[in-house]
Amino acid sequence: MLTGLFPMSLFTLALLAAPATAADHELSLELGGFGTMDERFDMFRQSPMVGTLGLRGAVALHDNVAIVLGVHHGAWGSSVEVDGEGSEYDDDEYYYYYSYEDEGDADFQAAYRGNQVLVGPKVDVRIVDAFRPYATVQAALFTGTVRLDDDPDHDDNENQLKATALQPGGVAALGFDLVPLRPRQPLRFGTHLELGYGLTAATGFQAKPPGGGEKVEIARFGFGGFYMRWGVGAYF
Amino acid sequence: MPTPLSRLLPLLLPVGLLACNPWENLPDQDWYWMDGPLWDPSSAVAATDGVYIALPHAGALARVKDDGTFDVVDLDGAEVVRMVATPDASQVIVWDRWRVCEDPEAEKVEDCDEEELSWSYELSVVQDGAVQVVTEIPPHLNRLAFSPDGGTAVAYLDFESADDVPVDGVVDLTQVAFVDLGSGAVQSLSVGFSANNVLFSLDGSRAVVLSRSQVVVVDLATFEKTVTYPLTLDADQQVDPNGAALTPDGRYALITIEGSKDLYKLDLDVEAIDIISLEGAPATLSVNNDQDKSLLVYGSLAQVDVLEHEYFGIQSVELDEPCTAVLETATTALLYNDQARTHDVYELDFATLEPVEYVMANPVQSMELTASGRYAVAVLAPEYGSSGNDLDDYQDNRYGLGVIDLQEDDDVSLVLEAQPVGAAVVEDESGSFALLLLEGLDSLLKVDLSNPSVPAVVELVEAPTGIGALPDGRFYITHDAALGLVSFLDPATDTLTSTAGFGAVDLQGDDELPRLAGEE
Amino acid sequence: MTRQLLALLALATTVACSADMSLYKGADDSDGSWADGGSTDGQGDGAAADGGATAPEDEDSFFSLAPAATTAYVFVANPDRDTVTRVAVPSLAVITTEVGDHPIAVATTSDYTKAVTFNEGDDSVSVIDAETLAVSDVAVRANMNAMAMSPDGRFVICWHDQDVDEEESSEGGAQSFNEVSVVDTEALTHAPLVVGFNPRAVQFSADSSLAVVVSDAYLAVVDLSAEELSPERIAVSDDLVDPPEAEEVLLTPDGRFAFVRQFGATELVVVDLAEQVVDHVAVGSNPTDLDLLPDGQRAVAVARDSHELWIYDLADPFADAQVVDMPDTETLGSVLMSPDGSRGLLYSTASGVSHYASWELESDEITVRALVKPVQSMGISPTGETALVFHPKDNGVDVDPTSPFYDQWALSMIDLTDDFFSNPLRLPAEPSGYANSADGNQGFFIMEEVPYLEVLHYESLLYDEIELASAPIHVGVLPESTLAWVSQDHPLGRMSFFDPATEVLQTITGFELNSGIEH
Repeated sequence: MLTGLFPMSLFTLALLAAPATAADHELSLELGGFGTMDERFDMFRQSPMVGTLGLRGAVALHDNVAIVLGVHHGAWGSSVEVDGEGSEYDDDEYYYYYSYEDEGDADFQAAYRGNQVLVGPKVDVRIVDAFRPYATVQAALFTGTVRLDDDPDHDDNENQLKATALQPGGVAALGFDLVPLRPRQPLRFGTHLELGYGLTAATGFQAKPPGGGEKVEIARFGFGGFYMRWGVGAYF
Repeated sequence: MPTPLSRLLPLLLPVGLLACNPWENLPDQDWYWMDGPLWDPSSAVAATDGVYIALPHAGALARVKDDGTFDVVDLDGAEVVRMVATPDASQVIVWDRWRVCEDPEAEKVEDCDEEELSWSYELSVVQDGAVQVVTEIPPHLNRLAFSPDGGTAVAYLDFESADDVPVDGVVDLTQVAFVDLGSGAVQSLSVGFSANNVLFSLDGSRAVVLSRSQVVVVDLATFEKTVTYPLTLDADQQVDPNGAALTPDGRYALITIEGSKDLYKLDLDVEAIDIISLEGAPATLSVNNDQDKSLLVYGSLAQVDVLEHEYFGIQSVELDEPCTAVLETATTALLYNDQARTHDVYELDFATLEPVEYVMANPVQSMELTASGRYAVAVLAPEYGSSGNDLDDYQDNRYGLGVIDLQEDDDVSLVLEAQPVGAAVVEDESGSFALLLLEGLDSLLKVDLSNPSVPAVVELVEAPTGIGALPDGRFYITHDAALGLVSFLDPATDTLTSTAGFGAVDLQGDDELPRLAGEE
Repeated sequence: MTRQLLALLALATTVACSADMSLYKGADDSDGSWADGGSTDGQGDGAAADGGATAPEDEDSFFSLAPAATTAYVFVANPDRDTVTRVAVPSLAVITTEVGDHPIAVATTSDYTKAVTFNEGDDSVSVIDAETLAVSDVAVRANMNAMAMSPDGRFVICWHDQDVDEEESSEGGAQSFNEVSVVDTEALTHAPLVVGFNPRAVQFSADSSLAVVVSDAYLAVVDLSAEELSPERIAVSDDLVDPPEAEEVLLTPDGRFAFVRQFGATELVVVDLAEQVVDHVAVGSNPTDLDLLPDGQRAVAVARDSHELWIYDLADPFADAQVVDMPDTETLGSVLMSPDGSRGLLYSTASGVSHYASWELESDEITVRALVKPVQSMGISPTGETALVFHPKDNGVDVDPTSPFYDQWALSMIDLTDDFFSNPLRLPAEPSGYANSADGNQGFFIMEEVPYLEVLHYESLLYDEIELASAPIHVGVLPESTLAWVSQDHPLGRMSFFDPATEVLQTITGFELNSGIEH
């Protein structure tokens, strides 16, 4: 989150410093969703899409064109059980069953914290003042940290593995801005919604072993799939 | 002038950091189940350069070193099936396999049809963390016997320990393979059905392979059968060897037969067969090289037979209870029963053949002798359902540790807090000790065998799952840690070093077909 | 087992045990007392001369497939494997070699250099070098079932003995009952000969220069020194239509004369083998036994019905015989001489009376003595100091029902030097084998289905029992030795060796497996 704040701060300054044009500048609080097609991400979250929270800013360059920058953050994690240690999947019966003595005991925790930075142009069409559909294509850069811990109840256990990686990608979406107040007011509040498709590269996460030595890959996955953003914010 | 706030700021930062310890606040919204295990503690094989451990989930092999580091042995995409160390522990022999798809277009396992998917097998000789030699042997051969010089190994099928018998087309169950561990050259030979034991002559020039109803002697220079000894002349009769040993002079092979009272004596020099009649089917045959005698114990007879190797006459010594296992020193033997619920342990002096009886509090599960032969340490199993006073019940229902001082003819049975998951004995200048690991306890008990009632405690980093000996006299301890954790213990100083994290290697590896068909 | 048991035969007949071994007469490798030096007993199944009141004396026994021994080895034939196993003593090293098909007998030469097997399955004889185990096979005529070896071991003669129990051969073609095969074990040659019908036995002269084949009506004399062997057939009976069976033939040591005893006759037939002249000498009534005295100069015939002993000078057989009267009240039909010739034991296996008599030759004094039961067979130790009497289970006419030996097998040891003091032993089963140690101090016997080796100490008249791993089949003593061997019942072969000096029993088992060792 802290890493995303810096570009957002710069963008805000730019926004405030930019002259007013026919298009709106914008600063919104957003909720987002990004697809997780890659099965390997299931270790962190078994869901086709994960939610994020962040900020979006837009700098209008022209009547219909703006540059948008969004910074989102999300964290997901699972308790992982390794087969043979307490649960088994019965292929014939298609169900999971627990070994009761191990029920509730995970073998290790797997967690991912990531920041998503997206930047790119937004081109809109003014239907009426309050409603402006748009299209956007944005470059994405995900920075994430994978953490594995096989004894989360203790702080000093040996097996606390951490690996960080950058995942470049991009999104393409269609959306709309809905700003219900009368035009030409200096500050208006509105909402936007955009839906589309996003994809990042599958990247390996290399962690340094607790005892030193060469890094080893502890995770490898990418993001991809359905993309959405919904935000409320100020338009000016 | 600094404000109160400015004074507080430097303090707020570490406090803030503490409050924001990422390891304390890991997100945890879900459950996930993964094929595993990530690492297999039971596969650990100690070599001179580290402990080799299979990583089943990743299909990899890790070498864990005592300096806290580990590395992954490049098996060229193959996964470990099983491993064994050579007798001198300088090399590790790895049975490994990899997925093969008949469809040349398939790049991943999931791209391949089930019918076109198969395994290919090989044998890799690993040393210093790298594969030195790769060779192919029939995949169903799952056990190795090593020649005395360690240069040759004989691969055979031990069906009892086999999870599966891989069949690729046809399988010859009469086959063994002779492997030159230096060059990887393999020579297969048909030696008889169910060959399950191999002995080597003292000079290493011959291998004696035991199979159903026959014994074959193979010249290790030419890998040719030189002599075949029949164990029966009746084709309808099945004679299955279940134990074998060479006499100290290497001349005779003594072979016990499953369910039979016959002890076969094969003269490897004169090439003759003699059958010694016993009073029962022996549970164990044990050759004492110092005494030049063999001991035979029976699960159903309360006696031990002492077989001398000159005329092969038998002297029977009566016991109170049958025994099934033997431990030997230069001058004595320790007899005990690890299969029945008996409590007796006997010390038999070869000079007098008078047994000294020790009665443990609970049945013996396993036993080990110290190197000097002075102490015997036994893990005692609980005996549920016993009747007696409360204290007897208390002891009967728990695991125990039996310590026998063979010099003082004294014994003591201790009660253990939990089930042992590992036990070892060590003897050095400071004394004789038993190292005990108990289930669920994050500590190692170091029991002074001269004063076993007050053990020393060595704290462990995690609960242990097992202990093994290293070639240099130290020990390695595997722990209950999903991501891999092995400790190295120096019993002389009780110091521990740990190596962790190797279980996470290739946690999310690709299921790419490691070697395309035809590129093996 | 029937009355054909070897115990009696082992105590009877030849002196050179390993050199003069008949297939069906049994293998006693000891120097125990055989009744004479060269007589051959036929089956006594003729009618009794006294009108049938008493059966013939039984001197035969059947002893097939007995191992044969030298001073260093024991040879065991394995008919099912077509092999012979050689067990070295005392190392007990075992080596097996292949011979012909279905060997049913094995014999060793008197110089212990060769073993010879008769292979019934392929009608051959295998000559085996005792040291190297090199085997040479010689084919013989078909349908033979008996074999005898000359004293020097050079010749073996095979013939078909109709009295041997066997299945009729189903192999087709003509079959003759007049043929014998003579095999030269040195030259490895075979000479088939036609002799009289139904040859019963073969006798050799002491110097092995002559062989005499005994059949019902003929003696066939074969000069073994001739370059080409041929039989000189001599009719011994004037009755060409229904000749009396020759029960026993005795060859004089010099090979000049043959004495033929016919059951129920009043004369002995004396054949001059050189001149091929047949004559007769008187022999009292119903001669039932004919033996050579140990000095080799005289022969004695027991005329059971006339209660007489007739003694002939072999230098002049036609001279008047010396006649010694036996007690009229006793039925004595057999004689057993002590090795020094000073004493004879007179007994009957047919009377059912628990008596025997001692005959002191110097004084011709005959003393009748009692036994606990009737006699089945009798023998004397090599030193002549102890006699052994095997008693049948049948009680005869005079056994007290309260006797501990009533309806029991029994054995009596008699100290001939201590006023014939005896120690009778009750036995749990029928004795099936017997042998003496070379020094005459011990005797060894076995019983059917009883897993013990019984050791008899002749000096003390005591006995010991040595437990065996399984039921014994044959017993013997290595020549010139005190080491006893016992073959036992085991599917893969079992043999034990007992040294009475150390009282150590060593056993080898499974030696037949050695025939399956492949290279």
